Amino acid sequence: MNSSLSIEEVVLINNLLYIENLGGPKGTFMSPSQESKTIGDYVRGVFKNEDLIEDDTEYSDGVTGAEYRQILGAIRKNQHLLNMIIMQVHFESDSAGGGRSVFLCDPSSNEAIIVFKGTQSDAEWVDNIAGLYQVPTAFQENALKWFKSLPLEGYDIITVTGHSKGGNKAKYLVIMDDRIDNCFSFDGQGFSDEFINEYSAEIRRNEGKILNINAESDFVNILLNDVGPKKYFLGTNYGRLGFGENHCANAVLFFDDEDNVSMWEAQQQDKKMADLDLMLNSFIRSYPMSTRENIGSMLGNIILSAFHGNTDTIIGTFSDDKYKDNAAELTAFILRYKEKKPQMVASLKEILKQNGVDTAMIGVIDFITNHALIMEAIGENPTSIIQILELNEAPAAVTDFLSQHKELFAFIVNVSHRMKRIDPTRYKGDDLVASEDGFWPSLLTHKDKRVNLFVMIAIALAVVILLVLLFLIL
Amino acid sequence: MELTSSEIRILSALSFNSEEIQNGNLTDKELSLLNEMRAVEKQLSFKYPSYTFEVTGCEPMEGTARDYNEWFYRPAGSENESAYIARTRMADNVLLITDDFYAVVIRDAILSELGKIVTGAGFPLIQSNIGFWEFFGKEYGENLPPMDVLTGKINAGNDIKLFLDGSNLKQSSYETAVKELEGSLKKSSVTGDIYVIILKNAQGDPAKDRVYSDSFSLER
Repeated sequence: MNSSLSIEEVVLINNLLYIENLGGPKGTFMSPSQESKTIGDYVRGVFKNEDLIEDDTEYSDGVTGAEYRQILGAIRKNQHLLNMIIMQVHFESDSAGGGRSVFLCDPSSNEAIIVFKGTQSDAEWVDNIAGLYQVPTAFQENALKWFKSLPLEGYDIITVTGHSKGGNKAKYLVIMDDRIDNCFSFDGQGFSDEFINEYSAEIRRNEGKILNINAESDFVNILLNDVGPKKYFLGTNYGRLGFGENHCANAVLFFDDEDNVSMWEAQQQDKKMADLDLMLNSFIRSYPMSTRENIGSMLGNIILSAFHGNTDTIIGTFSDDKYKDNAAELTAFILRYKEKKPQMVASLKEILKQNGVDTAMIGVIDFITNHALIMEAIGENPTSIIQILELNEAPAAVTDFLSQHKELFAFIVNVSHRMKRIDPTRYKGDDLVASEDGFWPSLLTHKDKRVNLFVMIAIALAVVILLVLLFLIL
Repeated sequence: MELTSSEIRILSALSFNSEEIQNGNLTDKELSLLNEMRAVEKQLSFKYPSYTFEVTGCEPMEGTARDYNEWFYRPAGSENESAYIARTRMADNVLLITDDFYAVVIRDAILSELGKIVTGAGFPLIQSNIGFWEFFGKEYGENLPPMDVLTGKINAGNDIKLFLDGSNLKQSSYETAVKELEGSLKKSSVTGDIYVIILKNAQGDPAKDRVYSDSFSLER
């Protein structure tokens, strides 16, 4: 990799893209009015209105005015970043819009730096889910189309980067366009098995240009198959969003009292996240591409509803005719996976604890959810269960909620039925690696057993033939 | 409910409910978005009758730090271009719509006037550009007077960039040149944030051949 950017600089640049209305409209980095200015002009402009920045206000999800002050304070001390020129700010118009990106020029190294913002809109959320069943997705293609329209002739180095979905777009670009020299994907999700298979030649050609900058406890960088080397960094950002702040773009930045910034490399990925990564891959592989769209829609509905704080819609998804089977399948898969790999419960407990949730009940829930028969009994007796909970002085909020959503009990029965036939460890959860000859390695965990079965059938057939021959001879 | 193909495409891209949307069965949220989409298109056509617009997408405010929805749109015939933005917000049960398209309508006239002022004062102008920070509602459409915006009679949040040829400056230093330019613009009642970028020469690359830059603000 030949970029002039340090990893800290890459992360600081990615943070800039999220800043909106910091101290007023001119505090928005991603505005066409910033074009032709330097990053230094932007930073100086924001500090001119410093008094208008409210320290406790979030200027993007999970990142407050005080935190942005630190980020811009660190940039203010970095002449390399200050001299970079904002060449073009792009708002995606196609596919219902929402994607945002910026083209920067580093005159000192004659480097073009193209940066993609993370998931910006509902349409981009829909596109994130489409990554499960579409190769490539609409927003990946939009990003490539815009990139190809940029006047990049004359630059010595071309670098792409992005955070979250932006990191995925950056990886997509470096795979698809050989002109790119470097790609820094910051907590970006990976690609489906089908994508890795379809573009294995391109991936093998360009994956050496990629560096995945990952927060050790981030929950987006674990999605699907990653491409290229990874470095993990410590992150300790727990604000309003709790565990969710592991995905904030400033989670890996540490500041001293004088706004000097540093990042601390972690030994490895957080074990909890590594476990979750394996489980999600195993689950996705349990379904062919053709049925993943419906599963993806179901997951997407849940994510979008959670994003908008709409509990009724989440519950509605579990009982919706279109989604109820997939939702039950997913839940049954998780419960069966938990049975086979109990460390998932420990990981889940740890995550909840970090969010200040009382985990005392998890042991009980763990026991119940390990037993399909108990779940079935619970699901078939909603009124009795609610009464038992009331007698045991369960919080009124819980009993009221269950009384209003009795459809959840039918869902539990549905889950318990599926638990009896799911084998959650049938497919491996490891990331798929692009192979030299495009051969798609088996992702089944029971390959050896199947071979043995074939051998046994062959032996049995041979024995039968032998017996028939003996019978005929005799 | 009857939906156009474009409406179906946009609403479908914003949710996981595409089959129902195809059949015209919309949720409350989708219905509200559809009404906004139609209102945005109607207002844009009303404000800028010489243009035809296509609303291409939306970024709802839910889950963001914004208190308005953003609608992406483009004038007919423009492809691969960065989206223009209209903002919608409810105030006292009234839908308020503002947009940024006025910039397209007044930009050329303003840049022409700026060119006259800057070159008239003896500065070797290579190119200029202007952006605006404000979004306007029904009050200012295609008839928005450019000079009222340039002089700050109507505050659009002018953000002006002027590129000068460093090899043809008469002043003894870049600092002096910028100071004198500030005086000339002030005399002509120009308002806004002004960024002056001096290039090595007239053929210089606007990014790579910068020899000096500075900024100042002029108020009405």
